[in-house]
Amino acid sequence: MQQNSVLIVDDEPIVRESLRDWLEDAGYQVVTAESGEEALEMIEKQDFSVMVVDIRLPGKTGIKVLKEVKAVKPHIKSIIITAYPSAETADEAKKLGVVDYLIKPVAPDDLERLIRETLVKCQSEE
Amino acid sequence: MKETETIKPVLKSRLQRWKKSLVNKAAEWSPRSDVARGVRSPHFWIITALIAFGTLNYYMDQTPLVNMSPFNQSFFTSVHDLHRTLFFIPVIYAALVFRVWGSLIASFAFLCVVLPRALLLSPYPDPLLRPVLFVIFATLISLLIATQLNRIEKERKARTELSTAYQELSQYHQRLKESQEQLIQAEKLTSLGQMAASIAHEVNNPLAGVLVYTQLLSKKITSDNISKEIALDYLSKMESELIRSTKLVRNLLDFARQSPPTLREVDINDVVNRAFDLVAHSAELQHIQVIKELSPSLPKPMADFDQLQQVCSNLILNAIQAMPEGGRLTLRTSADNGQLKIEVQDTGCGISPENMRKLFTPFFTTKGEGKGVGLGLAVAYGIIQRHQGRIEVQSKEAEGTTFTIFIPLHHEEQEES
Repeated sequence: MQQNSVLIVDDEPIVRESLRDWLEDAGYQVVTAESGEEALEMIEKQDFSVMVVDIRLPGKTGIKVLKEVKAVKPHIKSIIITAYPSAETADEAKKLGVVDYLIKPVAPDDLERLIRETLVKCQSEE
Repeated sequence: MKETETIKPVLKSRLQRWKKSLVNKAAEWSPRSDVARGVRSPHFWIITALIAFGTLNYYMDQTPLVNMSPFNQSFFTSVHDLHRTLFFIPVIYAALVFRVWGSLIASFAFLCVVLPRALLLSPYPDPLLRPVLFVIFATLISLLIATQLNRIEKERKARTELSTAYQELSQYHQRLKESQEQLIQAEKLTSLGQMAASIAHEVNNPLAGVLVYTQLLSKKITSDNISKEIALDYLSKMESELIRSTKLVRNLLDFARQSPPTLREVDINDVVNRAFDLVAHSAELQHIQVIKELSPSLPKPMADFDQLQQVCSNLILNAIQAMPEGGRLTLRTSADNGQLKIEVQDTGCGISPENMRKLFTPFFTTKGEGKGVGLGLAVAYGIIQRHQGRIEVQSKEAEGTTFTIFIPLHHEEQEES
């Protein structure tokens, strides 16, 4: 498993691309998916350290994707980014053990720092 | 004094007890409950007393009292017509209180009183004529009173029932109106929430992208680690996202402004053709077969060209987006019954019945994010309404949808309010 691989799930091309460009510039291996279904397919094929996922997605919602990922590969850490936060989704995300729940627009350096810290924590746990 | 004082209540109570037992017995004898109720009524006894008094009057000349003053006067011995007239009082009384049956029974009693004198005592020729006439009159008058009273009472009852029913109805109506208003309010809040979500999404995403690229640019420029191509690529991405945001703002303004149409003579076929030209490229990309059935001899209605074109291109774009796997798009115009008809028909995915209701609600959309904010049909609806026309939708899931716009040829004068 690659230590610095990140999966970004968002149906908005601009969000996917900009975060990918930023994180790749910061030295991460980034893969993007535009729907929950596509993300699950990729996770089946390949392992990731961190998943960055939007809640409002066409088809499966971000929360549903989180649940399924947790069942298949519980070691993948997740970060939620959403343009429309709500108490319910925040509660559910907390229960599913996400690292953080960020509200769009997300400052890219914040996201980068969060991913770095998460990865460091993972390594120390191992 | 003392004796009378003690005797009086005793007599009174005895009289009452006697009366009570008599009433109860009479009630027991009678087979019908309403008869029993009649016997128990004080009116019955007043009427009986009046008839008894009349009978005494009528037959006074046959009693020993006739030799005594004042019963020896001519009033008691000869004016029988007056005596018979007195019977009208109990008969009419009975009709007032007991209605038809009361009037019949009292009249019968009257007949029973007058017959013996007519048959046995009268010295006149035709002894039956006058008494029987009196009885018939009494019966008719009392029956008339009884039936009229019945009718009036029925009407009054019906009227009170009607007014209570009306009151209940207006209460229900009031409650219905209140709950409808609450529903509308709730609906408004829901669409406000949807609007907030849509705007948040539509504005936040491009902003998020722009934010990332500005920071990325400044980071790379600071570290002197950027090629011209990459910088230009970032800038063009930022530009397109900013254009997208301004478009959204313009759409919102269009929707909020809802300007009245500036009416001019409009060639509807021209409207349809130009509207289609705007989105023709998408149709081509999706391999959609386009059929135009535009009637060549259409009258020209007064309408706002730009607004109608906006409506048509919205509908055509929806039709194209409903057929991602290709299909057939039919554009049809016709005139009929003083109105013009524009039809936009697709063979796409159709609209589910539950979505049908929300179709024209602002910010309701089934399209994927980034493809629409759910304003197109709401704007179209507003425009057509301001043209005093209407939009109809027919749809079957998996078979297709037809939107039909009706535009009146002659505008009714709009009330200025």
